[in-house]
Amino acid sequence: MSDRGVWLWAWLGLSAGLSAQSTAPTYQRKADSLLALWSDARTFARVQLDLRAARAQGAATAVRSTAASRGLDPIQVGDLMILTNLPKALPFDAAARTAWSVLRRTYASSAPALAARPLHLRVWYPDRQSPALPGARMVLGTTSEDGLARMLVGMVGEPPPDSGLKAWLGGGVQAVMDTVASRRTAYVELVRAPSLAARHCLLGDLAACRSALHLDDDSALYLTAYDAGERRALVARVRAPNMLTPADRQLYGACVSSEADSACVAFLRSLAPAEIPRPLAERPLQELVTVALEAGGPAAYDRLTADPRAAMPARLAAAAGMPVDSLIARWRAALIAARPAPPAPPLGDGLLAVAWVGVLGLCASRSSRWRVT
Amino acid sequence: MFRAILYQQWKWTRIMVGLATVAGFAVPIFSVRYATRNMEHGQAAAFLDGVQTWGVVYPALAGAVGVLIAIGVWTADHRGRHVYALTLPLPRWKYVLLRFAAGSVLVAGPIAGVTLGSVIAAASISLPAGLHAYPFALAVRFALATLVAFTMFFAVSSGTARTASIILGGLAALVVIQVLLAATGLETNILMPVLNAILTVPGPFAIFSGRWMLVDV
Repeated sequence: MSDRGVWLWAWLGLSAGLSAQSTAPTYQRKADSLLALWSDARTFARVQLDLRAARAQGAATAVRSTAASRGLDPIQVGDLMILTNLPKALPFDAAARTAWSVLRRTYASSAPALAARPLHLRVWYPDRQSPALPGARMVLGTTSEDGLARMLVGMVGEPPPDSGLKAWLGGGVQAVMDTVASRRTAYVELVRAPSLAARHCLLGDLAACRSALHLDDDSALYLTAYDAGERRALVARVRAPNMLTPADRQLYGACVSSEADSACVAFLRSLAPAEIPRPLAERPLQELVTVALEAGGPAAYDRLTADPRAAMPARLAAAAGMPVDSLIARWRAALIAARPAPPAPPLGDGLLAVAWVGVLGLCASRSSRWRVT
Repeated sequence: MFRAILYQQWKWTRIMVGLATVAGFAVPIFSVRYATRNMEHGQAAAFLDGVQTWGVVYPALAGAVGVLIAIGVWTADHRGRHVYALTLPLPRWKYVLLRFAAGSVLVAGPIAGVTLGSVIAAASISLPAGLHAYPFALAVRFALATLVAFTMFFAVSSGTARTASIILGGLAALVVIQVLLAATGLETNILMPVLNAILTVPGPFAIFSGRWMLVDV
């Protein structure tokens, strides 16, 4: 049953309950009945999803088992299978090995289920015809091994996140191919984050890192993670002036125009917690998960997703196999270590420029203008 | 002889050199004009974006300085059909070397402007945690880029008009062929490999690509 179905049942139950205009025990009975209905609907929905997954799994198994007999020459590494029109045209084997290793390292026991469906790739060249492969994703015949591995990881995707992960991370856990580049991006986001907590985190305050990462359910995030100027900027960011209700307009004006911090706090307090922007964007949070999975070893993802109802710090600590504060310290150290190099030209580039000056200068002195023949 | 050539070249290019030096001095200071003495961390992102926007001005200035001074130092010779140079008791390579050395001295003006401007700009701001000023790194990159551009166009200008027309005609032909290829629906790109060869290591203008940041993370 879809979400829409669940809501329909809920609405019907609620309508029935309201129209009855009964006394408290009647309401209680109706509520219990509604809860039972909702529970049944959830169960049906789960069964339907499981059936759909089983059907997809069956289809994938059939494709896998018949691929060789259909002359498709499948490329298989671990549970990852690639079907392509030109198996020798690109380094599929090496790319699949890299991709599978990344998937396995990230998603542990969830990786085989993710890779159950064979990946169909059609190699194509701009200047010539290549055999067709219906329903396949196109891949350019000049794609590098690294590019191909990234494409494979992207095609496999990520396991659907549970509600806890989705609420905190904004999506599923991403498999990271290039941890150095990813951490570099996370470091830049940490530096650029308009948040007091992020600044203190950068300077080594681990409690501030915890606040910046929004690991705890902090109902007063706007007080702990932002200073007065940042709160003012937040208010200006979360609501456009033309979207304000008359009641909000006064607070908004006092905050943004008159720079009264009490008005900013009152305005932010009136918002739903989900409306208040987090101090850090998604990449640093993803990086915290990546560091936890690295520290936790082979089954780390399984431990991360074992108890979806647990608080995020506990889940991350279980995944990493260490206290969450130690994990945060390790995350911070990894980000600091990935700080981008200063923008000075590397010595090699400098020497190259000097060499070009020499070569071009020599060309100038050897010009044919005055050469006597 | 060097002093005479330097004096001549200074007379021909002094307005250009003066303007470029002032521009080189002003750009770094202008790029940090919105920075306050005690900048808040919350302003870091906007400040960095501003500095990054100004980052495109440095390579443009380096290229322009190189091209204009290189053309400027040869203009009089071209106009006089090289008669003056031929009357000198000097081999051509030595004459070219003197012209090149004098031109390099003139190029030093804008380089000094950028260096001084960057140092003053960096000293005038107080950066939040995580941001650092790189005035000398920027100055070194600017100096190398200006010298490469100057030498490249010095070499082109020192040749005959035929040499220059072959080089420029070749580049124009590439663009025309690329446009024709695109018009016929072919996805072949011949311009990009050429640009990549020029602008990436080990190409001559590789120093132009990269981060031209006075302030960075």
